[in-house]
Amino acid sequence: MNNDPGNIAQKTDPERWLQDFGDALFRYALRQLHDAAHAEDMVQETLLAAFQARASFSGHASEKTWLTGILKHKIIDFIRKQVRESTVDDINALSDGATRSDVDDLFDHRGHWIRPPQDWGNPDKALHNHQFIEAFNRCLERLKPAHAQIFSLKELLGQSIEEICKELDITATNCSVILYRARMGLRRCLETQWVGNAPEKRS
Amino acid sequence: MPSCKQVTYMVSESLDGRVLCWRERIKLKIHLSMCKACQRMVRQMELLRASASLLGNTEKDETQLKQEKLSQESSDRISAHLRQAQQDAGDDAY
Repeated sequence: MNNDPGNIAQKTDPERWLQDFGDALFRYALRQLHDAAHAEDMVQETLLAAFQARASFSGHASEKTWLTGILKHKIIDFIRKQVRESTVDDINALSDGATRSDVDDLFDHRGHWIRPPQDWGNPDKALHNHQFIEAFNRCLERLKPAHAQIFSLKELLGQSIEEICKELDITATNCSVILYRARMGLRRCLETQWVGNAPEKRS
Repeated sequence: MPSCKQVTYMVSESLDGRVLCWRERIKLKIHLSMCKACQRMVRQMELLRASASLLGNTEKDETQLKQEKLSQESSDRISAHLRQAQQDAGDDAY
């Protein structure tokens, strides 16, 4: 074994990154993309990019933080590309106004709730509940991909509306409408996935 | 007065960072003070935000989530790509 501290190749061995951080990076990507094959691709691209950019690793941050930062950019690029490719029609349909489909049948013609929201109990408890987070994930997977991805950019990755609009080349109104749809879709899905199965309701 | 449907949209917009004007804020406040269904909706929207931000910071909360792993197959595939990249870099260097 070579323990020479000056051996850079050993310190930045990308296969060791894969071994040490591969699973963590994969989980990070999976949380945002909700697709194992895509998440695997992101890990591969991240490690390759990290290897190419290894000279820029300053050592100020931990390797894991550095790699996660690269992964985050890869994920944003990927979502951008997907949304651009897959949602032109979707976005065009939305620009007619938020007056159709999934959201509408929640309200009557005067805009009153037909199915009023149920009580979800204590929000802090829900947040610390495994089953709630899993239900949230399932519901995110059920949204239209474009809705889920824009919601992820905004709420998981913390991008601003302005950034999202600019990157995806859509108007702020379209973006708000999509986020509104996504939130209403998630809310509705959780009414059955979470409230319908809430453990405390059964006992 | 805004309808419940309009209120849901206003709440979503304000989560997006749009600052409501004072008229909208007053209307929203009055509506919410009288409408239990919309009060619940606001709490639910806030919980969606908190859940998303929790997932966005997954690194810190891995224990809360299922322990998914890279499959052996994809791990091998990535490994092969990395070896190739190292080889290519080596070829360039020497």
